[in-house]
Amino acid sequence: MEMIPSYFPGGSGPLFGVRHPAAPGTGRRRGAVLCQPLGPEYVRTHRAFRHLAIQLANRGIDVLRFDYYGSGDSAGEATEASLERWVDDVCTAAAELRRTRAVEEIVLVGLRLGAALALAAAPRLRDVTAIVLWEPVDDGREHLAELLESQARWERRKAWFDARWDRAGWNGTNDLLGFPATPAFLDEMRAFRAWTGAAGGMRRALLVEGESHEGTLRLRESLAGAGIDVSHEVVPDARIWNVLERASALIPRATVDRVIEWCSTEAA
Amino acid sequence: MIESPVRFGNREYLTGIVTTPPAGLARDAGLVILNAGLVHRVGPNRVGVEVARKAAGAGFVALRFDLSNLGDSRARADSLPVEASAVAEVRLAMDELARTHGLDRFVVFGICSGAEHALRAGLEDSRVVGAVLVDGYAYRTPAYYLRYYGPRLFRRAAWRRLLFEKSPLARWLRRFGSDQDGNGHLTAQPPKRRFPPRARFRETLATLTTRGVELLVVYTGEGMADQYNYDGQFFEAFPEFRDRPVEVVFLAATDHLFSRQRSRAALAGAVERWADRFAWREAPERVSVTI
Repeated sequence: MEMIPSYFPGGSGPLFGVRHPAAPGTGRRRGAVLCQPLGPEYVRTHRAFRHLAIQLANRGIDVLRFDYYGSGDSAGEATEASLERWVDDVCTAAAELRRTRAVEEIVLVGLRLGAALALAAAPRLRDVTAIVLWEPVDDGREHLAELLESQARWERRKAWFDARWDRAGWNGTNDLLGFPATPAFLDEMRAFRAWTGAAGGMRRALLVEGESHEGTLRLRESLAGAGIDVSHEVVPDARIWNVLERASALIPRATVDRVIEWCSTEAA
Repeated sequence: MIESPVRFGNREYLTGIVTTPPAGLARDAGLVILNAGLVHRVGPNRVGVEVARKAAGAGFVALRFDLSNLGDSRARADSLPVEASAVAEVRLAMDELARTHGLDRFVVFGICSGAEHALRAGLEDSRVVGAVLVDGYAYRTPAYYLRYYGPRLFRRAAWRRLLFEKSPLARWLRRFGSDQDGNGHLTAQPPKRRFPPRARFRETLATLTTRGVELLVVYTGEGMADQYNYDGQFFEAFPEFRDRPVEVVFLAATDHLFSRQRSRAALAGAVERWADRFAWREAPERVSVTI
């Protein structure tokens, strides 16, 4: 199966993407833009996203997976990160997919913060008819609180070690699980809400998570209230982003298979 | 600087990103950056990208790529063991930079297992004129043990750990424990690394440095705490290399994944300073466009 890495123009600089053209002869006109998560979750799930892209293309869907500005292989520094810019990047990636392949409708597939960015971008994209929200982040303030708590745990584990070498301590930095978050980014995250209430062209959504969360149930009700046909499913291996160490070798088969099935049949 | 994707090898099974310096002068050696363990070519916390960009700023044409079956590279058709396939693929990466940028001298950069591959590539290919070995092999000295165990004698937590986590009974009981850590993360710990005997590593260093290969050896204080814990340990373990082309940098308050922004900057800065050992040349027009 062909896999084409390339850079395409983004609003702030070149974005890196990998195109997976649909298997020939399938006669479909559907495309998928994969919106990956950020930070360590991005590293842990890279292999899963590559596998997902290949399998979707095998099922006749043109796929583009890409890196947001200031992340992965894309241009820019992480310190230039901005949620607003990343939402724009999702729109740019959709346009790139449209430019390179004659797709008529697009499914956005996002994991964690990638799901939030996809959901925020979807109303701006008329040809996005379906969305996969995989362990989605909805509320920026809650997500930031989780990240800060994880960072604080990490800092506590390191405290004895760091104190030996640097008695001034490290707390003056904004390192957030390997991501150099600026004060502006933190403010933006606190105010961020993925779901704005506008469905745009979205008709169907797959909400998939490892265990049911109150926030996701709220999101499900909101999406349904806007007239979107929501399928909410609990698949135990969906929490791939939360697996430590050698997780970049892991693929959550059950979740990936379900996403592929849904995108190929039920998303239409 | 310009970043462009590249695919190479038989049926283009390997994928990478070439970072080229600003137009004009470039170093007379190319830089090949390897995967750190299983992490794809951007590196842990994007450290590979930061190093490639800083190195390109210092004049290196840098290719960071995924070894077979990692990141965006496909699996090999044969069943070569990873030690051999990694060296073969480093050679393909050098062939690619030779073809596209007219380079015939290379520096290989690796973190952790990448450092091990870099050493092997240096032994097997004379085009390798430099290697950056980050958290590669390390060997303890008497002073290491003093620094390691000394402070622990007075820490209650260390005694508790010894009794309840490291004792044979604790290890046996852990077999029945949870697969989650205290934060609710699933744990899948990598196997313990095995280093070659000290004499063989000494022999490798001797072979490379006699050939004039420049070495930048970097250890992170936290990442290697079980093996390396003070500035100067390398030359105490291997004093015969003090007058050889070996530079050692100890990044004390740094973890193995370069989680701190300043840790990544420190590593990239060390590579940038070390780059001055390599001469400049007129950067030729690219020989061919790869994609």
